[in-house]
Amino acid sequence: MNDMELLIRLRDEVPAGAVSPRAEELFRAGLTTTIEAERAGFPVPRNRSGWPWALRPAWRLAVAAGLAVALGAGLVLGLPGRPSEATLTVQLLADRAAAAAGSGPSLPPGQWIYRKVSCGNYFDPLFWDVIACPSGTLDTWITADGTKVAVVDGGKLYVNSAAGYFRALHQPLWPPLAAYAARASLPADPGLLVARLGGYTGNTAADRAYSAFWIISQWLAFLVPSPSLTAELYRALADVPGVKIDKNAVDTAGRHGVGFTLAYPHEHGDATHGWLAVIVNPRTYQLLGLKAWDSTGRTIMGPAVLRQQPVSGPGIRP
Amino acid sequence: MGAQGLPVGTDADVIELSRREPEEFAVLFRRHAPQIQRYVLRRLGADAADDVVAETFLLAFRQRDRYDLARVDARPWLYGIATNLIGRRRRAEIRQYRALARTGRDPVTEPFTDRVDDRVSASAAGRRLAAALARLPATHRDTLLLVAWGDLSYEEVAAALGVPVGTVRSRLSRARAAMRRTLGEVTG
Repeated sequence: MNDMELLIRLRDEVPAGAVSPRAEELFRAGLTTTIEAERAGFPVPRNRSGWPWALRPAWRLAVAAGLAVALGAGLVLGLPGRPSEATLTVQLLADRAAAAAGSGPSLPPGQWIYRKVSCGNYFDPLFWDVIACPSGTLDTWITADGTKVAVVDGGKLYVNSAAGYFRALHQPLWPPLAAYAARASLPADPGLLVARLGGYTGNTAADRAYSAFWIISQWLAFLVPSPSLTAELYRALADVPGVKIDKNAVDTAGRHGVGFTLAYPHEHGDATHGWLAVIVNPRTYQLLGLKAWDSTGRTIMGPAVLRQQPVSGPGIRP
Repeated sequence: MGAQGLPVGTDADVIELSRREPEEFAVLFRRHAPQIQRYVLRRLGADAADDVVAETFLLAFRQRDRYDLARVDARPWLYGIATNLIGRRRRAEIRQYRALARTGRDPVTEPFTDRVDDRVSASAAGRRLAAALARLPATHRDTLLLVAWGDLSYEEVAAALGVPVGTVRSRLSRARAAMRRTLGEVTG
């Protein structure tokens, strides 16, 4: 037997046959997102990953219907469906959310993005002095690189530098925004990323875990990390000590999802004081919102991202 | 529709159709994902294979407008994308070759069999092969394994890696020479 024949036999125990269900599911979710993005007219770069949210529900239905027709006869792939809850783990959910986040187009740094967020029970940290929220929702705009923000308050459009906004109000820079400025130097390894983010505000092990979880949650909910960074953030969530899955999470807009949850320590000690959840759509794994509640079950805050879509400028709605 | 329920047509036909009807690209996944998955599994193991396989086809989907429709068989293109993605996990791949070389236990194949003692992976030759693979330059290893595990011809490997066929031949020659040196008296 010569060297090539030996090599061909090496690892031939690996079975041939059908592709794994998880690979199918990852592919299916990514294909759906990418097709939706293409149809929405977003730029789809060749080797970058994706834009997770800016997709109209009607397109999702259309794509699902198209897939059903295309894949119906004899194909293994199926319609998007709920994850197998019996096997759903933090790691699996993180992988799926990362795949969904990383599968679409990215945006140029100066691209404005419209965001419609429920504001019934929280203040957006990037607009924390804005109190007008007459309809229970807030229309805001942010550039893809997170350096500029805009909001309509009292019928008037305000466009700010994100950091300058805090300076103008003589307030310390919001810690997640300060940390965001150094995002290019963050490690890609999930464990190292958690360690780095945990060092921003944490002292005890529980504090460090919560710090990492909190910063990731704030970036996901209030800033617009690039698709690749978003994917890394989701993967990192699985590496935060103590994170659990809530398969029956409901965001503050009443939408059912799956949550990454972490108990947060009391500010003066390590006793559990409440929980924070990053809630994602159970079908598309795209972010629905955040939710925090205390030990009595009372919701403390919970931004729900209702819509997020690139637009031509601040103040422009899709 | 064909006998297996799949649309009739070459890979190029499917890709061309998917430019107008993107959902049709799933046909390509159905057609080639099992082979790509086995190739990726043999190189990286089960933990990474699902992600790499899905990403391979998603990248291919995004690049379908640039696909040369004169190439009726998309396998070289897909194997090339998969190989690039494997390259991002090179350290993990090499770590597993070294583990096999050092211990005789292969973390890649263990999930698939509880009976490895009569397999080449546990043999002296298997261990030496793994050691040789770990030491090869990445481009040589890619070339060698696309032939041995991807079952591609030299011309197809050239298309997959975007290099001339002559480069494939020289890389393969050097890689095999290195393997033979490592195998020593085991071969014959």
